[in-house]
Amino acid sequence: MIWTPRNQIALPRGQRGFFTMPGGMGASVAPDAGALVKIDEIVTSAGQASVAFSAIPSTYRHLYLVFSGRAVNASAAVQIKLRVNSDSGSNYDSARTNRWGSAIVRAGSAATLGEFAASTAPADISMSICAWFPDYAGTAFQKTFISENADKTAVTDPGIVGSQRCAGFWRSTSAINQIELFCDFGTFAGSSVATLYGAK
Amino acid sequence: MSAFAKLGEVVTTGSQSTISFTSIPATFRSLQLVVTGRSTTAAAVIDVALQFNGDVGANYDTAQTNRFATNVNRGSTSLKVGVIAAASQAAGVACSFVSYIPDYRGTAFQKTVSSMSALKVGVSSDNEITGYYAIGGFWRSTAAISSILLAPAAGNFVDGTVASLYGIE
Repeated sequence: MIWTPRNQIALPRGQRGFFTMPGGMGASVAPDAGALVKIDEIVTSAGQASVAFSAIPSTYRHLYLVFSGRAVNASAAVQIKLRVNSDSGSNYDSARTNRWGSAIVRAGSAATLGEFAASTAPADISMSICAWFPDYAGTAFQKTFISENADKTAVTDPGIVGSQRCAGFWRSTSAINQIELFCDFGTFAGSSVATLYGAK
Repeated sequence: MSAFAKLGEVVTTGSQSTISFTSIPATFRSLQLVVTGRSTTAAAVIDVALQFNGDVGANYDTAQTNRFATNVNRGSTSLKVGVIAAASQAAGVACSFVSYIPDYRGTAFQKTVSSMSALKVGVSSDNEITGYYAIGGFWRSTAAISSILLAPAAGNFVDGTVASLYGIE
């Protein structure tokens, strides 16, 4: 193994590039502790129309979002939409897949990140979304999102109890510095919680 | 020790053909891999193959499910851990995946990988895929995982492809 300047080691013969080791030159493969850092958290007020994380620092490699709550709308569920960098142009592609099929949106003005229970769902039911934003600060490629969504709008059949997955794409290579979440109809119920983490 | 620690990161350069994480410490309970990028091969998307511990034998099984179908590969020389965009995609389009590798250091059971991938092939027709790819992968070995090798099924990684490996306590 050949040591190179800073904190990289050469890959074996026949492989190109470097494996970057945390901890600086001469370090063993020591973990870089505390790699998931809370950037901000928002607890919604009743009737809040959107949740926005702004001035997101570009110092992390990936973003991770955890969002749990409920919406206010005369329906069992509403979709949670995502915009980044205040871009409301037709620049989003997304797919939402559950046990019934997939709903695809091409060139939409926002991406679908999941669903929340709404006013006609049983009281106090909430839904949650966990989402990754890989290499959000990079400028080499257009941006992608991947999310998982616990989905429940009823406790008796044929209501939904299930899981959903969403894949989203933003047609821009710009670094993401702002994330806005909103309901496709209605508003957020009070005490919905959105937490944004940076992964080093 | 942190509950979530970065073990290594590769940002590809020089059109490299593989990404390698070696000497993975056996001090965490699970691993998480986050990858986003592109391949140079002439296709819309391409699978990313994974091998553990330098094992090139026919010891891997994979099931990939998207909204159209499930593809199963048994007894392969690598498992398909995710999908990235490739050269016939529009410029700049990337695909990404996130993988969990539970109990990677355990020796009681053979190893499993669970991945979710954001997949985009075109944007103009319902016959084109914009969707979610769920992947279950299996390595027929009870050995602790100490290294991970990633490679596009064809072509090389486009420069700027990012792979991050995390340990979860």
